[in-house]
Amino acid sequence: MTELAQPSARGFWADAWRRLRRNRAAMVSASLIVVISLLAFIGPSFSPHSFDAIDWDHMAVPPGGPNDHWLGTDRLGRDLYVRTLAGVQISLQIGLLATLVSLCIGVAFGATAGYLGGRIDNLMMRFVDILYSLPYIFIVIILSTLFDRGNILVLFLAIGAVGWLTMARIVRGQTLSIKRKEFIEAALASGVGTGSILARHIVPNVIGPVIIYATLTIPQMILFESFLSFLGLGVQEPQASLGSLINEGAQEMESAVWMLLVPAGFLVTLLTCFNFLGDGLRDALDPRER
Amino acid sequence: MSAVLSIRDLAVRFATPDGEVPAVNAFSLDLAAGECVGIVGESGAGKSQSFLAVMGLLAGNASVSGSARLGETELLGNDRNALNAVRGSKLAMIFQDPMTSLTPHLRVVDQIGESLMRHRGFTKAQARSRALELLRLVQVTDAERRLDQYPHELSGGMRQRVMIAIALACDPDVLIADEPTTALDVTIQAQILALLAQLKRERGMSMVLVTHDLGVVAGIADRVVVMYGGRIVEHGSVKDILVSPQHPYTRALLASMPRIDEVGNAPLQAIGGQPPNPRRLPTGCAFHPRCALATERCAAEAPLLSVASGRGVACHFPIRGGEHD
Repeated sequence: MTELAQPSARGFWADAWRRLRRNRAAMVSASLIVVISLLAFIGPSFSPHSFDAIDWDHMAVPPGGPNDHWLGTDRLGRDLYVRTLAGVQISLQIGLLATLVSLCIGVAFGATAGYLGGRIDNLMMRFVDILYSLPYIFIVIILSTLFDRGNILVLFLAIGAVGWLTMARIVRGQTLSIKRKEFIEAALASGVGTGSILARHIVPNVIGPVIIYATLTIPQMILFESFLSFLGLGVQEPQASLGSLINEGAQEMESAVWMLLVPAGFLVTLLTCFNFLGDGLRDALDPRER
Repeated sequence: MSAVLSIRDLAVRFATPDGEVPAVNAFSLDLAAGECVGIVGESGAGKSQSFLAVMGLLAGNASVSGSARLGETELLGNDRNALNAVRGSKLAMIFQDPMTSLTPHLRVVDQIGESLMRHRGFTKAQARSRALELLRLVQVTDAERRLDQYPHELSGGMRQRVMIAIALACDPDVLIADEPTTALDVTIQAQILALLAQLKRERGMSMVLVTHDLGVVAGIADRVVVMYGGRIVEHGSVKDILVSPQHPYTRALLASMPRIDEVGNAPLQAIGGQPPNPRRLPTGCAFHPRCALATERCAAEAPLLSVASGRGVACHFPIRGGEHD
């Protein structure tokens, strides 16, 4: 059944929310994300163990053993439950912050380029093309040799440098299609300046696609961070991120498979949830393109 | 009386891949204080483009020459900041389609308040109370509640009233209305026109009414300018133009209006042929291929606008005397 895009007294956001609520996969995913986030941020403080404390009596014990390590311990006797939650915490933080950074830069850059158009647009977008073609993994390696290894800031720089490019392209495209609309002309006719046109009349209009893309960027960022940490370029011991935990777990895969399965399970769940939520948001915010 | 808005030799051209396309040529107009001038013509006659040029709203591939002065300010070729100081405060415009000319995600109060806060330095609260006044002025029912509504919650006529309220917010000297009633149904059209006429009367505001409907002009304009193929073909007072049109085009335009007092099923009078393509304007008088009175001279030589006793006509063989009555 197709829904007509009828103007309703409920308004755009109420409508979108109603459609999102009807999407069961998206709602389950959203609640799971909330539960996992809450767990990650408050769970560790309710556990008797610390993420870097070594339990000499229980080294490499599997989950469900007769002890209080619910998800077992790693080879050094550190509680895997707490370590994984700490890893989720870091992954989420990096994912969210990097997405936020890429969102701000991307929206500002894309909207400016699209609205000003002409030569400025050309220059700005060629700059994006150049950044696109840089082999970012080498940049990360170079950056991490210049700075302390595992410096979270370097991670940010590296992730942020690539993250905003696609966002800028999306926003530019949207801006191009909006800037010739009559209401922009009407705003110009009442003497609104370029800055206000961008901030008040254009950016709020591209917010739908931006939210969708941002939701789909978070898992990419988390994955990227995990990938860097897996390579040993990201978060360093005794800190844990999902990527570094999976790396450690992969080395013990044959004798102690839970060390891999626990962090990998969290990572997969998180990524799936974010992707489902992003899909749901796309359907909710843009009902015609289902 | 001196002119509020004075346009001299305005020309607009568009650079296209197929070469330059002239849209407006030698357009001159003096708009006196409190006067309403109707600009009439078919689609593509250049009537909208002339005033988009005055507002500085032409597409990027357009080039403009000539002069348009609003009081002391030259509008053509001026920089954006100077233009923004005038647009919305002294010179305002309302557009054809109220369905698409309001920003969809902004509440009515914010859209009306925008130019007040910008040009008059109003605070949010001041802008709100002024917006309420304006909505009442343009006869929006239930104004208090409308303030916090979004454009999609309003009907077409209501949106056009909001557009007018936005245009009137800073008490402009000149209001340009670009086909303000074309997108509305007939009963609403009449209401909006009555409102514009009343506002013009009460505030002594000058108005330019761009339309293709002579009936609209007859109701509220003082003077009429008829455009064809990017040029002015005839201008004069409403009475002169409607009662004794001198240009064959104006005459055909008048004849093509359906008359309610016509007995029986008289066929509608159409002007034969197509409006000219601005890329390939006919030689001489642009109207000659469709003109019943055209001679060889019309095809060879472009007629000049000759002005006499308050009216002007650009035709080699103007129709004098009461041939049309």
